[in-house]
Order: sequence, then structure tokens, then C-alpha cells
Amino acid sequence: MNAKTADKIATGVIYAISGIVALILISMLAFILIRGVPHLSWHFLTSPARAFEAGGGIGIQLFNSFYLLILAMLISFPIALGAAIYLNEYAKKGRFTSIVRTAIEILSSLPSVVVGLFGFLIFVVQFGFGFSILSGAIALTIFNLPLLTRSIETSLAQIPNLQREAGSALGLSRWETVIHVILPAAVPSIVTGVVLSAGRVFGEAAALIYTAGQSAPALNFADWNPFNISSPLNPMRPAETLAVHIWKINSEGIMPDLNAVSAGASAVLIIVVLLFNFSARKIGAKLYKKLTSA
Amino acid sequence: MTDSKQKNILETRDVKLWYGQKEALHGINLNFPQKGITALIGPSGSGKSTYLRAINRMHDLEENITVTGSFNFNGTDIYAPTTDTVDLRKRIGMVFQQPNPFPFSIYENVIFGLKLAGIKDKSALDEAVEKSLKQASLWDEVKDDLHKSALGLSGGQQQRVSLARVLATSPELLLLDEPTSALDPVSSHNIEETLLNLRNDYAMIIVTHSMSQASRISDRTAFFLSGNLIELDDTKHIFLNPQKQETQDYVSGRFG
Repeated sequence: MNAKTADKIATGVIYAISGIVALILISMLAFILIRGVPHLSWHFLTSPARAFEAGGGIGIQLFNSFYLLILAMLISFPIALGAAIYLNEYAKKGRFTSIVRTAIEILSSLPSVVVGLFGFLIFVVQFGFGFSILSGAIALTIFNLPLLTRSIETSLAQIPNLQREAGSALGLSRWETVIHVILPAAVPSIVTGVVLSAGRVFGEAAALIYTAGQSAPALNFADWNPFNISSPLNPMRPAETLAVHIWKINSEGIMPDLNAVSAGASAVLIIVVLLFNFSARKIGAKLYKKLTSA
Repeated sequence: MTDSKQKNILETRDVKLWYGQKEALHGINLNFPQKGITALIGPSGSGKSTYLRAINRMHDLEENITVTGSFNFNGTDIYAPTTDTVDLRKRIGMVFQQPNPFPFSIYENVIFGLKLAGIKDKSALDEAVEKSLKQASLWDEVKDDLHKSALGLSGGQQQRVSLARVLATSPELLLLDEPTSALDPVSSHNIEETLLNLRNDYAMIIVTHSMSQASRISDRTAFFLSGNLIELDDTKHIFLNPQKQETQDYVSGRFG
């Protein structure tokens, strides 16, 4: 066999493998969407779930998912940003840095169900937060932190050293260079990373089952005082999310339209995650264009 | 003590530099007058860039580099523990081999140093932008596009933005580390013209690989070889009538 034939065969095999990967994804998406989309309606998206009769929706779960996502991002983003700036801009090779890096690696490989159980023992039981949005948001932060830190660190590392040299040659301190040069230049790719990680957090179930809880008490969407128990904003109320809801009704649901609710909820979950993924690229590209060609 | 009538803007004595254990500069003595262009030439690895970057303490950014010797910059001891590098680098501007404008508009790039220094007055900033861009011979080309991104410019224009950005902060000394080696001949020519226009107002030290460039723009030329300063003289002497055999061999293209 000559080199040319070998090359042709290798190319063919690689194409086939890539094709199979794409095919698996597409058929999975198609399956979920075809099964779920027919059940979607405004009523389904906005009304509360029903435990024993047909016709329930996923309104509260959907709201909970977004609310938890926002809270988790509000907590994890500043921490991840600080850690990433330290690791990429300040850290010198040494014991402390390697401990931090190892910690982040181990944290990122922890199974999310373990994070959930840890959150249950510490925040729910020990700290007495109960099954609550707060416990869930902290668990999600632990789950999200290593991935987000790594993604921001990568964004910062992509900024060429020329820019750092230019900053210090102009008489900027290291901190000024980070704030005024490196971060603005890295914003598009940081935003892409944040939105992508939002997609991951949105679909997370295992870390939330024992922290944010598996019940979605009725909410009064006219009451926006976070101290009232029926207010959607109350961080101390239990909050079943969409992903947890899917797991819950499939393991112990008894409503007659169980399959329809499950299929519809899965479709919504997938659509939102897809939206996050596509918009991440769009927003990143748009920001980059805006920053580089006024 | 500051001596305002100091003849030289920068006097360096017995400058040595180590990368770890390896000595890369073996005791350089060099002085630079208040105005005019001094070119540092020599083959790759001769230490000319290393010496240049020691002047504004760029080596501080790397670990494992030791610099000794005395650097008297208009009365400031550059390596004194009390010398603030941030302040020092405001007084010693630097232009690099690769154009490195920030990913902002041309206007924002030029006023960057001034804004950080706390200047907010719009008309003062506008004035500084026009003056610096004119000094960098870029004004006519970009005056209608000041608020477009500097990254959209050609390499040569980007390099002149980098230059204007440095000039805007009115440095006392300008270091140029092979500023044209990444540019095409036309852009290089523009930069050279710009530097020639500035030679009466600024002290400049330029590292260059191009001997023809050194002969075209510099008043004095210093020849470096293997971490030693071989010869320093008026540029025309270095190229027409060098005193040392090594210099003769290098400028006539016999090695390097």
C-alpha cells in the first residue's frame, strides 16, 4: 500500500468517525425534540405542576432553574475571575500555586452527586439552610467553579504577552495592566465561557436533588418581597428545577400524563441549553467585533 | 543628586547580566547624549536587545535574571531599591519589535498613558492625540478614523500608533527594540522618517539588525558582540573607518 492510498483510507476513517459523532448528537436531539415539542404550549410553560392529575405544567420549575442559575453565577463568577487572574497573571511556579491548581483539578473531577451530598450535609443540615435555593446555589457554585476558573484562565492566557509588555513599558503596574488592558481584551472570550458554563449549570440535576430539594411549592408571582415564603425571590424556599423535575417524575411520578410532561420538559431543557450554546458563540463574536472595530 | 545640566541623559557603567548562572553581558560601559539616535548593532545573541531591556528594567518581569552595574538616568539610579519601575517606565518609553496596540480605538490607544495619569480634560486629550499622531507621522492617515479600532490598521500604522502612544506620555528617553523588523519596506521607511524627525527632540536608542538602517538614521553606532561592547563611535566612522577588526568584519558582512 503506498502513502497516497494510506492517506485516503485514514482520511475516510476520520471522516466516518466524525460523522458518527455528529449523527449520535443529531439523532439524540431529534428524538427528544420530536417527542417533546408537540406537548409544548404557553400553558405548559407557565402553569404549575400537578402531582395527581393531567394538565400540569413546568412554570415554577422553569423559573427556579433560571433563578438558581443567576444566583449560582453571581456567586461563582467573581470567585472564578479572581482565581483565574491570580493563576494566569500573578502566580509564580511554586508550592502554593501547584496546590491551588491541583485543588481545582480535583474539584472539577468530583462527581456532581458527591457535590450534592456534600452540600446536603454541610449547608442543608449543618448550617441549617434546609432544602433551599441558597443551598442549591452554593452546591452549583462548587460544581461550576473549577470549570469556570479554567475557562477564564484560558481566555486570559490567549492574550499575547506583547500586551502585558506594552502595558508595563507604558508605566502601568501589573494590576493596571490586568484591569485596563488584559481584561477588556479578554471580555469576548470570557463571556463565551460564562454562557457555555451557564448551559452546563442549567442542566445540572444531581448536585441539586439534595440541596435545592425536590419540591416546588406554589409561588405567588405578584409578591416580589424576597422575605415572604411564597415569593419567587425567597432564597430560603425549596426549589425543584427543571432537570430535577424530569428525574423526579420519571422515578416516582404518578400523574396520568407523565410521559408527555417528561418529554415536554426534556425538550425545553435541551432547547434552553442549545440556546445558551449558540448564543455564547454569537455574543462572543459580536463583542469581539465591537471591541476591535468600532 | 539631580544635575539638570548633566551632559548625558544616561550613563551606564560595568553592566553585567546573568540568565541564571550564565553571564550574558560582560560589563558594558555606554553613555547616551541628551538628544539624537544611538544604534545598537551586532549579530543575534550579541546582547544588544538584552542591554536595551535592562535600561527600563523590563527584565524585572522575568524570573532568574540578575543585573548589576550602575545606571545613571538624569540623576536617577535606575536599579536603586527606591526607584519605582512604574514611574521609571513613564520616563523611559519603549517600542517593541511587534506592533502592539491595545484592542481599543486609535484615540484610546494614544491617550492611554495620559488617562491613567489622571488627565480628564477633553481638549487637552484631543490636543495630545493630534500632537502625538503628528509626531508619529500618522495623523494625516487616520485623522478621520480616530475612533476606529487600532487593530484594523496595517502593521506599519499599528507600529506608529505604538510610537504615538509612547510619545503622548512625553518620555525623556525612547527605547526602540527592532521597531521595523516585522514591517514591510514601505512601512519601515515611514518609521525611519518619523524617527529622523524626532531626533532633535528626543534621545533614542534603537536596536536594529539592519546595518543600512543604522547608517541611515543614527548619529552614533555601538557594535555588540558576544555580550561585549566592541566599539562605539559616530555612525559614519563605524561604517567607513572602524577601529576594531571585529567591527570591520561585521559591517563588511564577513560574519554575523
